[in-house]
Amino acid sequence: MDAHASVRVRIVSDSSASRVTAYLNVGRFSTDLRLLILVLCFTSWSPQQVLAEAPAQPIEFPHDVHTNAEDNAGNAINCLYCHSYARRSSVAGIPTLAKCMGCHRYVATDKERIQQLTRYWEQGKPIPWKKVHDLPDFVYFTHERHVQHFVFQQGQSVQQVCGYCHGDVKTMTVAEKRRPLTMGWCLKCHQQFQDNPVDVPRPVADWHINATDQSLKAVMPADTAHAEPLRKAPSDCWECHK
Amino acid sequence: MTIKNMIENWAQFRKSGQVGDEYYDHADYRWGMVIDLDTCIGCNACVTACYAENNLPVVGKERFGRGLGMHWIRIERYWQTGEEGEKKTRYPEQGAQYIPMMCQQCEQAPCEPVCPVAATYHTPDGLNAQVYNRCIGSRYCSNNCPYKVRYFNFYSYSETWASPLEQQLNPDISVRDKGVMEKCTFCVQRLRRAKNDAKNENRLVEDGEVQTACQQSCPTQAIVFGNLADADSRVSRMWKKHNMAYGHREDDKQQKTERGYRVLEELNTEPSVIYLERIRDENI
Repeated sequence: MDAHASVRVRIVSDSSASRVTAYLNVGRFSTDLRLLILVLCFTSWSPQQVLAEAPAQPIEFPHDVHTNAEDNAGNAINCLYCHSYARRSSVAGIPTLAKCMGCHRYVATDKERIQQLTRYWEQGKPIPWKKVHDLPDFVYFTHERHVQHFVFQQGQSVQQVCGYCHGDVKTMTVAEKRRPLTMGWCLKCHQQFQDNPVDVPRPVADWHINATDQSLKAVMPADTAHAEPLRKAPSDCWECHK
Repeated sequence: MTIKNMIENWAQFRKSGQVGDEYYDHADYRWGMVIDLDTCIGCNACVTACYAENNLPVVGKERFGRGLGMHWIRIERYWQTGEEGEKKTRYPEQGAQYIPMMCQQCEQAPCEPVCPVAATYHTPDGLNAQVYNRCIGSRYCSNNCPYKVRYFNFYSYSETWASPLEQQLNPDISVRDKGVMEKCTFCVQRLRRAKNDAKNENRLVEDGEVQTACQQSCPTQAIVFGNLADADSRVSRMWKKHNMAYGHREDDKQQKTERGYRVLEELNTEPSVIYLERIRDENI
């Protein structure tokens, strides 16, 4: 028994109520649930692309409620709080159920989705999330290098750095694939400041999002922030394919 | 790599390694190796380590007998019979001599310009790269390789890792499938990891920080690997000690203690791997 029980006790002690600033407003999601069911009906026969754009998740996780302080009661959780491996590993990671329950043993327990979450927790099963951003197996992308460089060394805001490849997730409910994540798309950043650029520099509108979170250092102006560091961005095949 | 880059890469052929070579001027790294044949005991530990590190399939006795083994590093065995041509050597028989043979990471690699799709090319840190997802399996590179250290997947070896053996696969490197050429990479996944860690701390990779799998497992430490761009690294000092550099020939040797040589030097492939001759009684 007691491995399981002891884990629980530890999680409970970890969850400090002071972290949670307010109850989450998730009432409006009842409409979305109906939409989700509709989507589920359609996806059985609709083109592959629809599935790829917004996979039906076991729990319709609302990113905006957790992170977007503007339209919620002040919840502005940093991306790296839940996706904590992004700064030290090649994969960003899906947070453990224990991390969800750290807050949700107390927060919004009357909501339907939280009760669903709690059922997973009580059964001791992980939530079978579907992967939204999937790269082929021969691509060795690393989150760590990008997050370390842009966030910790250069001091850009986390929301903007994640947004380069994932779009403004703070405005999404369930995460959607908003960027193609193809090799040509990657190289558009990686080669634009090389000596022999293959393409015109990416327009600012391509990557800029209105980040609302605080950066670790002073924010650089948008037009010069990328020129110097990206000159060193590798465009060598063996950086990603090996 | 675009067509333009590809042609530029081909234009580098037989030009790299020369003074004023722009392709490498900015590079912080240039990986090189020394293998001391005097300490090599032919134990095959390096071969085993390579199998484990690089997801190499075990092809079985029958296929191995047909020369389809996928060993990126192999121990070549030579038996000295006491006669070299017409001349009798001083001692009647000197026994086996071993040479660990892997991709020599040639600076002027014959495999590179013959690839029709630029799947093999030279990286700025001096590696002879093989991009598996780009390879179409024409096998020109293998036919043009004088060392015969490129291995072609004639079969799909995924059954080699029947469950639960797939758990031992290295996640940092691709599992190659049928129709793809592969070869020693100097453990590029370890090099990239070391560079990544160093970049996080705003520094260069230090000497000894990264080891190849063969070097790590060698019980007699016959293999030395490191950064030739760093003049103080152990491998640089050994190259210097044995009067080796890109462009040097065996005729350039000054003293008997300079034991360095390159395999098939006369082909001007300029390998990044040098071997140190075995010391014989008659050499002393």
